[in-house]
Amino acid sequence: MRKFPSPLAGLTPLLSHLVLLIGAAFILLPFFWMVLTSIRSPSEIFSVSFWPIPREFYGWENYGEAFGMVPLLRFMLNGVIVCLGILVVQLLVAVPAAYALAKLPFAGRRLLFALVVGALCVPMQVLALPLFMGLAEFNLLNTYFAMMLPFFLSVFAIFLFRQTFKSYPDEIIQAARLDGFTELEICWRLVAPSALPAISAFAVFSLVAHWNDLYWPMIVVSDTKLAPPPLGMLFFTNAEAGSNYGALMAGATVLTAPLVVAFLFARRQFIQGITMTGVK
Amino acid sequence: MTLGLELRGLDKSFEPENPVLRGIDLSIRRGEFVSLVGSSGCGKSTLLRIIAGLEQADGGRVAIDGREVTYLEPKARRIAMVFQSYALYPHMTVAANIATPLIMSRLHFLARLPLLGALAPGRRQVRSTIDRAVEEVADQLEIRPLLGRKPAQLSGGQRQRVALARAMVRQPSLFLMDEPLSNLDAKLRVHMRGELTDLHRRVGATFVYVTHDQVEAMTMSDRIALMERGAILQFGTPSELYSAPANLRVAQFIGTPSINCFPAEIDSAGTVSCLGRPVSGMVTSETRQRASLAVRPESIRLSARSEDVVFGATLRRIEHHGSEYILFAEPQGRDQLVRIRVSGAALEGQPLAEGQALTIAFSAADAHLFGSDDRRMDVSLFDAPVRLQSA
Repeated sequence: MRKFPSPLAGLTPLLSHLVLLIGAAFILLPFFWMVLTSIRSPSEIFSVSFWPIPREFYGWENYGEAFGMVPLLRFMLNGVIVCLGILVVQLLVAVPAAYALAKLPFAGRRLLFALVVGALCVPMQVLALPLFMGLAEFNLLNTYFAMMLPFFLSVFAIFLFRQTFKSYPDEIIQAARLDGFTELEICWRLVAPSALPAISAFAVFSLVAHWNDLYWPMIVVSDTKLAPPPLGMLFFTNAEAGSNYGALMAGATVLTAPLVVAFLFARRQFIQGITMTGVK
Repeated sequence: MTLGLELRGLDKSFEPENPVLRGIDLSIRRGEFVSLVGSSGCGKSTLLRIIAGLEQADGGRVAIDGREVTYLEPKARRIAMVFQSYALYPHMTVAANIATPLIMSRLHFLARLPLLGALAPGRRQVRSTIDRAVEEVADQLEIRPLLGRKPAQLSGGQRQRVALARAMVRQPSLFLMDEPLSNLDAKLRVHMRGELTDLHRRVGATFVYVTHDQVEAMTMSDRIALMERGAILQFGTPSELYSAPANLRVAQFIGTPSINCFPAEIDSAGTVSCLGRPVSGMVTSETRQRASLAVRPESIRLSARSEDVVFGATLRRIEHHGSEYILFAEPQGRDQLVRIRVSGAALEGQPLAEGQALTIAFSAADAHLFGSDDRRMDVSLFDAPVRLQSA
C-alpha cells in the first residue's frame, strides 16, 4: 500500500516558523520602537502607530541634536577602549591558565579548578565595595583602568577554554614537545587556534557585556569624558535631553549599532562556539 | 660498540600499589629494529614515552647512543616519534608539518615569532635549507604532491606517510613508533609493514616499535621484547620467541592460531606425563610439580608414530585458510579444543567431516615444558623406541 503524506505534514515547519516569528517580534519590538522614535517628530512620538514610515521624517534633526548635545563619538571611543582593553587582558590571562588547567599536571590542579568553578558563583556586586575602596586608595577613580580592572580575570573564560582545550589531542601536544615547542608556543600556536570558535564566542559575550555595562562605570567614573555608552546615555537623559525622546533614541540607536553589526559579522562563529560542547 | 639504546632498571608507577614498569633492562644495538610487544596495559607505551622523555621514570637510566639522557627534555634527546593518531598539526599544511621539527631546532625562539621573526638575521637562508630538506624527504616518501594540503584532506595512509616524513626530516638516530599502523585498514597495514622495513634498512637508524600485534612484531623486527605486567618476559629474535619461548605466556602470545596447552605432571623421577600418558623421551631435573606442556598447532599430526603422545579426539570444526586448514578437535574426556594446522596437500584424498573421530599425536621433541611458575623447564630428550601408550 502506498503511503500518502499527511496533509498536515507541510504545516509543521510553517507552524514552527510562526512561533519563532512571534518570539522574534517580541524581542525586536523595543529596537524597532527605538529606531522608529529616533526618526519621528516630537509631535508624533507618542502616537501608538507601528507604521514604519513617519508622517514627517525628523531623523536629521534628532540625530543632529544627539550628536550636538553630547559627545556620542567620545562615548563610543571610550566603549571601544574599555571593551578591547578588558578583552585583550582577559584572553592573555585566561588562555594560558586554561591550558595549564586542562593539560599540565601539577600539584593542586584540581583544587585550583574547583576554585575557578566556585568563583563563577560570586557575583560582581559582592566585590564592588572593596574594589571601589582599593581604587580610591590608589587614586585611580575616574580612569579607564578603574573601569577595566575588575574584569581582567574572567573565571568564565578560564572555565570555558579549559573545557575546550581538554578535548585537544594529547598526542599532538607530545609531538610538539618532541619537536621543540615551548609550553607557551604549544598554548598559543597550537591549542588556542584550535579553540577559535570558543574564543570568538567568549569575545562576543565579553564585548557585549562590557559595552552595555552601566553598573561598574557608574561607580568608578563621574567624568563625562570617560563615560562609556550606557553611562553617557545616562548623563544625556539627566542633563540635557530629559524629555527629548527623539534625540535620546537617536543616541541609543547610534550606541547599539556597533554591537548589532559585530554580531551579524561573527554570527556563525558565535553559534558554533556555544553549541560546540554539545556536539562532540 | 655503543648501544643504540640502553635502559637500566626503569621503574614507573602512577599509583603506588600498582607499578606500570618494574625494573626494565634492555640493550638495543645501533641500527636494530626492536619491537615492544604485549597486550594492552602491559606498560609498553609507557616505556616508549619514558624513552622519549614525555614521561619521567621513578627510577633507572636511559642512554641513547651512549649518551645519558635520563633527565633531558624530549627535544634534547635527538629522537623522533610517530604516534598512533599521527599527531599532525591540524592547522598547518603538510609542508609546514614536516618543516616544523627543523624550524624548531634551527631557528632561535625569537626568529620563530610571527611577524617579528621575519626580521631575524639569517632567517631566510635557514628557511631555504629547511625547504630543501622537506622536499627531499617528501620525494623519498612520494608525498610531494601533497605538500600544500592540510592533514584533514588526507587519507589515513597519506597521513601516516606525512607523520613518517616529519620523523625522518631531522635525521634522528632513534625512531620511536607507537602502534603507527593500527589505524590503517588491514590491506594497507600489510603494505606499510613492508615499507617500514625498507625505510629502516635505508635510514639505518635504531627503531623501537610498540605494537600489540604479534604478527607486526614477528614480521618486521630484528628482535622482540615481549612485555607483560610491566616486565620483559623475553627479549630475542622472532625465531627464538617462536621456537624456544622462555615463558608459557610468551608461547601463548606468539603464533596464530595460538599454541595448545595441556596440563602435565612430573613425578619424583623427573618423568613427564600429560593427561595421564607418559611423554616418552622427556625427562627433567626439576621433579614433582604440576606443569604445562605446550605444542604448536603445526606440530600436531593426524597420524601417530611410535614415540608420540597420542590422543583420541573428535573433530569439532574445520576452518579453511586457502592453502591450509585449521582443525579444532576435542580430546576424549576433556573440555578443550586442540588447534591443529594442516596443509591442504596433506588432507588431499582424506575428506574430513565435523564430528568425525581423529587420532592426534605429537612428539616430545616438539613439545615445550613449562613449570608451575610458567617458566620454561630444561628437559633432556632421548629416543624411546618403546611405545608406552596407545590411544
